[in-house]
Amino acid sequence: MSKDFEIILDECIDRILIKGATVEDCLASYPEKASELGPHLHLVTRANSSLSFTPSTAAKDRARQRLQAVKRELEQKERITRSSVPIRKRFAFSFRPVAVLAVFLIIATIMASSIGTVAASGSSLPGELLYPVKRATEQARLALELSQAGKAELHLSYAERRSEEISELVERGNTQKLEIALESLNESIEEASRSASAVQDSTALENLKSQLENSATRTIANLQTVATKAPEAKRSQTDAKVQTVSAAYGKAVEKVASRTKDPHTVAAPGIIQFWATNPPSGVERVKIEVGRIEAHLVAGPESQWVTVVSEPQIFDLVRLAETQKFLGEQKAKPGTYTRIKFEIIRATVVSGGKEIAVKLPSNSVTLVRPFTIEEGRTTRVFLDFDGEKSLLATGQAEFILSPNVHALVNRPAQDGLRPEKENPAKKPAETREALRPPVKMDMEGTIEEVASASFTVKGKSIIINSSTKMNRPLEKGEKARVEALLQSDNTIVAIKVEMENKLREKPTPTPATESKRGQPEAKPPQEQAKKPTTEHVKGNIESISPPQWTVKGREILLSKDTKIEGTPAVGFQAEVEGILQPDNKILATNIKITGSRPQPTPKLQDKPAGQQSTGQKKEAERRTPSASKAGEQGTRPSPSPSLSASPKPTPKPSPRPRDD
Amino acid sequence: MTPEEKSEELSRKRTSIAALFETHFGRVARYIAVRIGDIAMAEDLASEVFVRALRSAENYKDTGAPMESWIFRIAGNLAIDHLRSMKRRPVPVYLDEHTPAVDDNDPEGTMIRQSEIEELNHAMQRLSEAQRQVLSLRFAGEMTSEQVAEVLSKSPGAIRQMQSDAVKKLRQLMVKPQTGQQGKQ
Repeated sequence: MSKDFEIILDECIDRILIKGATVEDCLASYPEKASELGPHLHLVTRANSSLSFTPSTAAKDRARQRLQAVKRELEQKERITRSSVPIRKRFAFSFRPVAVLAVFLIIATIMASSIGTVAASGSSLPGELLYPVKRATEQARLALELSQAGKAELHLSYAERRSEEISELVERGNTQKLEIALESLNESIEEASRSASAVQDSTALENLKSQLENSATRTIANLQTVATKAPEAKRSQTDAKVQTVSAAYGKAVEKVASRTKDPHTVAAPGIIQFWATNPPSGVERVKIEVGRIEAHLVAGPESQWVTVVSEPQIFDLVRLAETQKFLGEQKAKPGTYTRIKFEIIRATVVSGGKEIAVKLPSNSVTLVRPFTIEEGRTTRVFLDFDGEKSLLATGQAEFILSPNVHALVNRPAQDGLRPEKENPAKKPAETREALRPPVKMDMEGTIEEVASASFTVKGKSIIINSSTKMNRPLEKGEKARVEALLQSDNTIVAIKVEMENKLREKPTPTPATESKRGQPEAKPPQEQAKKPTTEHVKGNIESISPPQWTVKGREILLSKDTKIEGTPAVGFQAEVEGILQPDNKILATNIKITGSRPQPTPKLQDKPAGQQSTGQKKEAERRTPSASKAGEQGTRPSPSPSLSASPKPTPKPSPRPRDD
Repeated sequence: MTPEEKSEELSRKRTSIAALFETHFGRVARYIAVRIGDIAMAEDLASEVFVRALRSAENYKDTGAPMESWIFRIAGNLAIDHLRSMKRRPVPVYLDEHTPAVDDNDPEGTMIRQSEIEELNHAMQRLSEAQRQVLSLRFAGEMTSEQVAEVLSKSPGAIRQMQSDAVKKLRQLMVKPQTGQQGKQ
């Protein structure tokens, strides 16, 4: 085909597609080429005709609303960023002998693991001077860990570290090492899976399965956020890697789950139950009608969506402050489920006594949340609607529902199948609330009140205890980011409070220990009641079911800040120190395993008891951080609606001429 | 650049994206539809294209090329990601349940258009990736060869050559199975 022909064809295509000319018009301009040109131009016309659809006005309106909501969100974030001073500055070294320094520091690690430099390497990132030290320290810890369960736990904690590093790399715009970090993350998951496959002890396997599921939720949620922040050029690669990581977790959970099954259990389906929970504020009612709820089963080469709830369910998000709504349940094939999908049919808000229809940018929500259904056991999935983030007020009496939902999964009930007629929705509120594990939550806002043992953000009272970490004392009227644990009784206990930095003349006393300046000395009775009371319990460990243990009949809650000295196991003696919670449970700050097992009972470790007792103390020290991680039953909320919810196509094109 | 100037520049970029949304939403949706063969999904992905553009406006560098080239690059990446994710699904459960969107006012017309898009998309699968991109941007994105050259970072001459080869091959693919039938005009 000659060059002239290419130019003529190009010109004719322009005339047909852009200027609306006909094939005949073009052929008339080039009669000598008509026989060659004609068939090509007819094809172009045909293709053009196939593409003569225009997106419906409704689809474009939905897209516009979403765009406006994102624009507002970005502008709001920037306003906050502009008003704050950078929290930390990092130091850079300009000398080169990385390898020499690394070798020295590895030796230092082995000689005395508390050396400050090694500790400093903990926050280093790929490509930084101290990063090789960090990785070498990890390898050293792995080499010292003898049990396979311990190795698996370490690999999992390293996987989460890699996930945090990836997040930090993207935040800093340093994406050169992104791919390597993602590869390392994948390797850690695979290593965890390999180590787990060598574990024989069923209790240890159960614990590992739970840790794997929690780690998967946190990591995938984090990576989904990262993927949206990655530069355009790296985005498709990052998205693909997130999928790989998700698949690796899915396989690992499945592998462990297949080994935790009791061979004597009669093969029977498990049960999935769906519950809705968590309210918004500022409106009187938010009625949401959800349609079909499905869960995606991955079982070897088979893979399918299982419908759990087929009938539409209506619930009021505001009322969920006091209770949870049972949406439905279904007998389901045992196996690993990786995703949850549900439809939102419609939503209305009652604000100022007026009922307003809420706009829905998307009717479908998909959540990535691996969980397992076991034979004959019930797994409860809580669809935790973040009311504050889900409902966006876009103007006067106008709302958009952009569902921000986290799926929280409790461990399968140990009591077998629930009788058919026993409807959990009719159970007393206390029983239902007790089903929910503590949930990790993030909040951001202005501190409205500060009391001695609590403070208020967005109208919610948050309890401070001795484990709460704060970058500086709390002050009313200042902005803070809060990481907290939503307890099963709906009280919120702060894990970490990060205040925006501001220049200040003198430090103020910590509210956890002293009264705030200018605060009245007399506290309201409710605040007095929330003042932390330290509790001390000494006795045998009766059960371990992360994040909760039972010691001498008392229920002990563990958080990631709980320090554990010694190797915990059922039957061992433990001394627990912690904060008494309103529900009479103890949020443990320190647990010391003091005695040996009085008689053979099921154990947490995958080693014979004899071996454990001889090297117990040494091993316990090595295991402490990962053991405390086992307490993190709560899941980190997924970051934003557009990340956790992948829209399902429902818009309808209308046959109109092209007129964007 | 001072923080205020940066903020103003970002604001200008976002306004340009919002303006492009109003004028180019349909083109982007059609471009994605021809790449993935699914009108309803294309509309959702087109929405995602502009959201992504807004979120990464800060990274957009004005090199003199029109911003629409950048928007279509994002659309191309999203279409590829979508196709990859569909391939990764071991069983096409999602596809089975994923019926084409039907316009209540013209259900028949919608079904016909969906089937035409599928046919075009099917034939285009036999072209090279570069040829597919050229034709999609030309036919659906309503771009000139010069604009396509900007998006794909190639010369207009190279684009014209690819277009010519692609049209010839597509014609063979789409005409053969319909021997004896009149092509749609």
